[in-house]
Amino acid sequence: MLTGDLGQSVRSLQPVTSVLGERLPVTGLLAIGATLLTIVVAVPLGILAAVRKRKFADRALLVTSALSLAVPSFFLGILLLIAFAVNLRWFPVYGYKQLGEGVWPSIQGIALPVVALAVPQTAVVARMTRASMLEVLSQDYVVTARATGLSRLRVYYRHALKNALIPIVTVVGLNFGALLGGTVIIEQVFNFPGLGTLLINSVNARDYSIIQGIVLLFGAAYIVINLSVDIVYAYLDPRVRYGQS
Amino acid sequence: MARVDIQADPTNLAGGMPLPDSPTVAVATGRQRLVAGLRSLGVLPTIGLVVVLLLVVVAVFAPLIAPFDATAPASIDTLAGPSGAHWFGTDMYGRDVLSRVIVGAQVSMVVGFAVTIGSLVIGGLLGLVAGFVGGLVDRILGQLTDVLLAVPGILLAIAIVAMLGSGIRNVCIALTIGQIPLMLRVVRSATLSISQRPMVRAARAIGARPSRVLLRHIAPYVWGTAVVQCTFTFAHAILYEAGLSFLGIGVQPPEPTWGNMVSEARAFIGSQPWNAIFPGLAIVVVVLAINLVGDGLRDLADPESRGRGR
Repeated sequence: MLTGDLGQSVRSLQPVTSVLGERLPVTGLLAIGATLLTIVVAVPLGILAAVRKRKFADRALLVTSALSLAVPSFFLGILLLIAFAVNLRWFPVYGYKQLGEGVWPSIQGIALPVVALAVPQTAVVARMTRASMLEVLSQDYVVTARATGLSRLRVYYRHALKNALIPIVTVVGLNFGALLGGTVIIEQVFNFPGLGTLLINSVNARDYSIIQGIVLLFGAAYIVINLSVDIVYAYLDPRVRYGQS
Repeated sequence: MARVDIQADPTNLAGGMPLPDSPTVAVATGRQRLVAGLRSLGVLPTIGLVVVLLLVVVAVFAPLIAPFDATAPASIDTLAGPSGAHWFGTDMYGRDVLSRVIVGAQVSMVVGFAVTIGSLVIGGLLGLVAGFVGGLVDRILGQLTDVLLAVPGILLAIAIVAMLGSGIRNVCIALTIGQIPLMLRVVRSATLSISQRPMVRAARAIGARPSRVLLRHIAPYVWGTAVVQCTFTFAHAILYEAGLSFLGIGVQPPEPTWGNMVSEARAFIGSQPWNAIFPGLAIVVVVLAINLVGDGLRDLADPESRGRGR
């Protein structure tokens, strides 16, 4: 196992690594898409909530994030399907078929599962952004920057966000595991043939070597992501130095 | 670690539970702090608590409350929408969806309580020991925790159920194994911080046995933190159980669970979306209610964390 050989599938007799390799791009696409969407949506929302503390936007964020943490991902996926695929017909029910058929159909095909994955992540990351920004915004240098006449946006996004990023990056990394777990369920809801679908099929077929391979792969991905997060710290905060004590 | 005054502020009763006066005692133990805590919980957490208690009642008396048999067809009209006779409609076999949602509450509640109690007992005790003893024991437990937490929760549960087989007992075991490390961490760090207090050092200095110090002097103060974590464990257990049942590897049909009901309804969302919506909403309501209770309890235990992300 340590040499990178995960053995053979008990059922199809193919090497586990090549079976996993086939499915990895689908799951990777979903996970990366959801992470990007989360960051793009959650960080501005969190900043908005921090800046407008205790005002309407802040309360609205708190309520919606509490709600979205209570919705199981498969139910969210099905609600999205009912609303946007069955009734409004904006998106296809079987999105996977459209991947690779041009840019717009691909985006359409992957949009619903990515949104379903990103919603709970967004709730967590936006809350963390809010908390982290609140701490930074109360510091003197932010007040000084505003006093020198810099625009609000420049101060919030250039000066304050830089120092608020570490907890945000941490929570994105820590939640990557939950995101990978989420892909297992979301792939089932949207019929995407990724690692999650493979996992469920293998469970039903009692193909233990595949199950073991997927668990190891997800565990390894999670560890690698969090190691990268640790390395990113050094770029975000010059005070963080590794290798010296 | 703020302690809640056991003589709760009478002006703070607004949204609190109408509870009888607790007897005045010198030291606030965990239970008394909890009772006092309920009084000053606030409006939303109290609503959450009422919803959870209602659901426990519904789960216990499910066969009496359910208007129809949950596993037998109740109507020749299959896949019908909400109506006077069948409030939540009927599914593809003509079974009454309301009855199935009511009976499905049993599985969610049993799994929720079993996993919470299991991880509280095992994770809580291990956390106490790890935080109190420290050294090699702490390091070994810490590494085991890290290994378990490196695998996403639902994936760990799927892998364990794949080994043990499906069914409610194995689902409980799988989810408990996944929740133990979280409880262990929380209890361990609370134990560590309380072990530093002068009263603990004083207790040891006057010659109290370590077991007595741990159980009489430390455990009561860790209790509040553990209870908060329990609410999140409960919510996680219900979400994961629903997820496993949805994936078809949890509790098997025809026994209704909210997860496998949504799964069965998935094929019919084009013609009858209500079949998926009602059991799904049941999950949302329960988990939201439990999280509200948890947030309320956490705000009481640590007022500074108010409104912060988890």
